[in-house]
Amino acid sequence: MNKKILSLFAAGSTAVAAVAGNVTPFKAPLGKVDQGGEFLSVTTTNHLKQLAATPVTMQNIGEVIVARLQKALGSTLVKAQAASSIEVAPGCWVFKHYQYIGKQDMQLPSIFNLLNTPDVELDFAALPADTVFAVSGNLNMAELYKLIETEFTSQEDMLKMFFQQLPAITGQRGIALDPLLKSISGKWKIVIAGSSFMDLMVNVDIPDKDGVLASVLRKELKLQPDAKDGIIPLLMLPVKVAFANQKVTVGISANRKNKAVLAQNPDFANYISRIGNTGTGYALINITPELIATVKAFLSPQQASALEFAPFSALGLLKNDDAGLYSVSAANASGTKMTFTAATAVLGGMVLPALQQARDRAKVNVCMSNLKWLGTGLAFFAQDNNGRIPDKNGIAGLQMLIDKEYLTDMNIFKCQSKPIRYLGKQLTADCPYIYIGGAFSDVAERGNPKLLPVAFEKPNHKQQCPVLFADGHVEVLSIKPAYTNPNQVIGVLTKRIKTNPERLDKMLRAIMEN
Amino acid sequence: MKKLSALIFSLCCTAAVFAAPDAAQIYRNTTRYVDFDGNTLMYYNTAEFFSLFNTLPNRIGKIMTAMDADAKLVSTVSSAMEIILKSCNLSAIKATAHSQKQCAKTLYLSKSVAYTGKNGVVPGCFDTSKNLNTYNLNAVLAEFPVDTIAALKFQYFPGELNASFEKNLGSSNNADVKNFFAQTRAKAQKNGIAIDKLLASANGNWSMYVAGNSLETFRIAITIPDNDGSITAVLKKHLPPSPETPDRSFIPPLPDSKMKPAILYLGKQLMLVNDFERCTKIERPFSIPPEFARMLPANAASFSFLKISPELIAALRQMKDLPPQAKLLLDALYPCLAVDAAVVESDAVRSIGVADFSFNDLAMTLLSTLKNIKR
Repeated sequence: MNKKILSLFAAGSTAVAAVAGNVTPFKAPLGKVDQGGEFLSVTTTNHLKQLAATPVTMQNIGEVIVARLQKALGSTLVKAQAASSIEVAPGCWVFKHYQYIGKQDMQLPSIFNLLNTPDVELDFAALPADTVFAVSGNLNMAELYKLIETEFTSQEDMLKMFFQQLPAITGQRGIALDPLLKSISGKWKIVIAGSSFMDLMVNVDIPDKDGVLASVLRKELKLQPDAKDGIIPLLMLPVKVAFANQKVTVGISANRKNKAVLAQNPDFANYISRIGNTGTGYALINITPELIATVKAFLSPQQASALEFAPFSALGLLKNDDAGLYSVSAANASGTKMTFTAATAVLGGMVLPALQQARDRAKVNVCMSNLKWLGTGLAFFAQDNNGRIPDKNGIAGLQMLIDKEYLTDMNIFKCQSKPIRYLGKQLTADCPYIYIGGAFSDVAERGNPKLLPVAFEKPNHKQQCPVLFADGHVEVLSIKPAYTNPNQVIGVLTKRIKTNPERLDKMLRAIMEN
Repeated sequence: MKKLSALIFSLCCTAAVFAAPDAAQIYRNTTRYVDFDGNTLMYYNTAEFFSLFNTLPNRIGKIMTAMDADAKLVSTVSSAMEIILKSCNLSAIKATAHSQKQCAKTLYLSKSVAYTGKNGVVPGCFDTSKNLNTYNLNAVLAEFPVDTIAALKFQYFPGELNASFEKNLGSSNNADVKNFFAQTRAKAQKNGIAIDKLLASANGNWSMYVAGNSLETFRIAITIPDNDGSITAVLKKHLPPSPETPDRSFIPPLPDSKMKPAILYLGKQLMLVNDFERCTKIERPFSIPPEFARMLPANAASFSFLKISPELIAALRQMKDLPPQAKLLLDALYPCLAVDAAVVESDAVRSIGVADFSFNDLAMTLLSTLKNIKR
């Protein structure tokens, strides 16, 4: 009976194996990923090779460099790719990605060959608990440079010239390129931690097997030959450099009090139990509630409410494989959710401010139009009154235009940023525009009407203030950092007046006080 | 004891591959319709997608609120979106899959599937409990002209989609949304357009084709059902036919155009054509090579065809005053043929496509052409 059950399961497993792809070219990549989860994709990449072989018109040096770099790194060696995602436990998703190259081609010089080092126990568990981003991997920089140099010097062009001259350029500064590259080959690590600028930490650990990098930096920074540390002047930030045994650390680090480590984070403990903690390298991201609160503080209240950020963490491990590049990741969100969140962030971060700006601009345009109408009303008034505009400042002056029916549409005296209601044809203190033409109602006799302001708007538009001038034109003044007080306009306006600006300043301030 | 441990071990091994039995079953049921021995395989379980997608009305509402939109407007828009999404019932699709396989040097087979489970319904589009595979390949080919460029014959039920919408609208609590749609219908009714009746009359067989290998023979024809003649009545009211030819109405042509667009009344069908004379003098049938026909089902719920002939490409390339972007596109164009059939199964809708080009190659060619155009 047990034999029968076992054989049934064996048959089931075979069926699974059959479903898993018993016919090339899927077998290798399909066997490395998970089936039956959220997502599965397997594709051969012959078409990419064909595309690489097809000459593509490249006019941009950037595109040429990217194409050559891809070739140098061995992207055309990839025969098939597979990816999957599956929810292994509530709130825990495992992603797998495999690029199949083949055992033989893995021996060829390529980035895949360089990254394929033995699995070791990785050290991310000891990172600070508030690590936001970290990446670490073993890289043979000398071999990597050789790969790129071989490809870039294969054609007669300026890139070949650059690489041929590079050793001489570095030599002039006393830097021997080959020994430097050999010295910095090994385990690299970048860590960014902290949930605010007060506790921000950025560290880059660079291997320095032979001490070549250390001696170069000590020379460049004019330090003593046995100095243990120094400061790199970089954009006014206190970037420190520390020289340890076979390692150089560059970074900034605030006075950090948080001593907890990532292993104590339940999410990461869960990830480790799912995907292990061994590999050839790792990358992790950890968006904490504290970090989200910090980011939201930079957003407008509307953006903060429209965007939904949830704490997010993910750990990715690169694993040794003799036939391809294999990575396994764990995260607390599905691929679909990550895509949705990213799309929402883009929408909120880019589209929303742009839409808001467009709305604000539209409102300012309406006020400009209103002031232009006001200017027209003043012009007609002046025509009938010997070139004089209303001689009362403020609402009284504007009311004269309404009472004498030079302006009849009360909507001209409304700003779209604030709801205003007038009773009949009577203006109130809510009127968004300040009329100051009373100070120089004999505008026809004045010097330059282009420079004479006759009306402007109260602080309704953040940094912008539309102003009507005596010649009828309307300008929008930019008042930084924010337009909060009508008196600010006086300073901006009087700066333009070359003859006796103090008089205008005194006049306008007197009007404002009244 | 050893055998029991082995049994438990096998169980664990099998379980390790699949996380949840539901998800695993859906995967098995979906992927049985696609190929695992080609050059592409994709599978996607839509549960997570639709659970997030259905929050879209709420998210849009939040964005509108962030832009200081009126609260009433926000509520109306969110409710309307919810009703529309519910009515479409796209979340009936539990998973999708796609595969591609090269069967011969210039023969590619692609399969796609939208799995719903038993009695899956997407109103207006399909109902897996019904037998909708009523089109015969040869009969459909005979309906299209010999020089067809693109053609499509499918079943569509706008009346059912409308009924689903009405049902969900009726159960909504938002009076503003109900009023809005009621007023829209009332307005249409005043102009003699009974929306419900028109949509119900359009349930059934739809088809369209684009044909012609030169400007002089270029034709477009769209056929829609008109089961109870109500669409015909509305059209005849606004575009009255002449007494001599009551079976057709001519549409005013574009300025400087020599074509005579018309609507033909064919009993329980209407045909909209770009040129009456060209579309009534056509040579049939359209044909496909036998190796294509062998790989397609004899009967399906819809068929579609695409044929770019060498004559068509030559004619397009001879056109004068083309913008440089169009010229680049034409340079990338090559003769090709693709046929697709959609079959409604008891738990899914699957499509079988046969083409003489690989879709991966097509995508790459398009990408590089678009890149060159952008420059």
